[in-house]
Amino acid sequence: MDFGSQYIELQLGSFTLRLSETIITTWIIMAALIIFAVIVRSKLKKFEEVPKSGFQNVVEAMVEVMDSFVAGNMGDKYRYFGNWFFGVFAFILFSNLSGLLGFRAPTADLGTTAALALTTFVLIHFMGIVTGKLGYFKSYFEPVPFLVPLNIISEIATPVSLSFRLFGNLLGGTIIMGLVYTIPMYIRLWVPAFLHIYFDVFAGCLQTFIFVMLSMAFIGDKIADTD
Amino acid sequence: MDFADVINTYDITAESLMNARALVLMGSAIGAGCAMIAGIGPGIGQGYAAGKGAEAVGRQPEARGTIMSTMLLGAAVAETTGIYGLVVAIILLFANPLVNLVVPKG
Amino acid sequence: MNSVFLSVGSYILTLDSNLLVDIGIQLINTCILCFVLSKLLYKPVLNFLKNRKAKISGELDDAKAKLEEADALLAEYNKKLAEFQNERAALLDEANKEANVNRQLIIDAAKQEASEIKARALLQIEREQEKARDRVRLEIIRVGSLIADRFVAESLTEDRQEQLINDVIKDLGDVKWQS
Repeated sequence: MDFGSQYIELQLGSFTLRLSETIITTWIIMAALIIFAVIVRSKLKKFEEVPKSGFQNVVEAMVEVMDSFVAGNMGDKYRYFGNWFFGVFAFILFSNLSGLLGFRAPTADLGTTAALALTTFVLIHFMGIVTGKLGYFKSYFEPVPFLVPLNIISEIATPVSLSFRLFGNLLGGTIIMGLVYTIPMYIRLWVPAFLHIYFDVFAGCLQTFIFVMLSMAFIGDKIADTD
Repeated sequence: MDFADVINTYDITAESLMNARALVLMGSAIGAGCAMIAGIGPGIGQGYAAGKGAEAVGRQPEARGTIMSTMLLGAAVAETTGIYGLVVAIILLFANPLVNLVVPKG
Repeated sequence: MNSVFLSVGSYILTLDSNLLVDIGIQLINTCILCFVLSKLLYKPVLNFLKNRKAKISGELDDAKAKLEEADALLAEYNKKLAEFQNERAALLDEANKEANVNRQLIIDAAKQEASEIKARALLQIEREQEKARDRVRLEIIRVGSLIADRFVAESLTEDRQEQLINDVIKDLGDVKWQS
């Protein structure tokens, strides 16, 4: 039983790099998304006023849904966050769905989810400082000054819970799938197919949605708190 | 004192080291199982949230989208404690921090 | 760069420096991906959608303005048409009046002419009567003188005859002729 991410360790000068499956899969997903983006960019000139091709419809729907999603969660003023969350959403979604193609989902690795949660953490506090100025620092001393440590812990708990939620869900799915795949073929039959639908498609989409929505909600909360 | 001193002083053999490792692994596995009891809480909480969500949709079917996203947000937050339990279990099972603590690599 | 292969294996979760390196690599990956997607996909498509929305709303405004213009034009034409009709009615009225006046004039003229003709005819008749009267008077004179001649030749002398003629002539002047 091996549910982990395979790796090879490389010695680069004095530095040891652990090149894991997670990173390779991430690069594959990145490459696929970037190629898709390039195709869209090159076809954009041929886009018509009234969409006729399914491709244009899909692209327009994706962007429009993301735009209205961001506007609905964070307000019209912060629509530009769509630029960031569109990429994050696409990456997490395709990572979660990559299990369908036999990859090990990159999001089932704490490194990936921690990186994503860290960006959210940075955005939360960056936006807090930019929009709130002094009010941002003052908010740590509320309601009473001796609660400062608790406030700081709750701020740190946000990215931790964000990253562990995604990681735990995906890893749980991966482990259960791995366990089922150890059952011989003639006993397990088509059970893995249904498990794939549940863990990869359903839970994957739901967790993507939840991650992005929670990120937006946290950032929006900070903006609203200090605004 | 370093590792060699410990071995010399306490007359630790390979066999007793293996026994210590096995003991720690056993404890870790039991701990992981216990940690997963945390799953009860989110289960109840999310079920309650889903029930209330269904009630709300029944009362106000036109507000379905808002209710859904609010419910998912609440359920995701309620899930946090369960995820913590899961992570503790996973760390105990796969990262084995306690084994490395008691029985150093080498 | 001199790279050396060290070992293979697998991990699920490690809480060590490798995790930090992974986080760093994935941070860079995520940032690159988000940057590229935003530059190549999200922004251009959003701009495209925005432009289209602006264009459509502009066209709608344009159409509305044109409709208003058309309405205004229609109202103006209707007004002009009404004016024309009024004018026509006025012209017809005027022409009618003028025609009536002309008719009256013509009738008056005709009546006058007719009365003149009648008057002239009456005058002529009178003259004819006069002439006839003169002629009758002369005839009577002639006949009278004839009778007198005969009577005188039979019974009277010259003096008596003259006296008689003079008496007759005197009587004639007093005789009233009836026409």
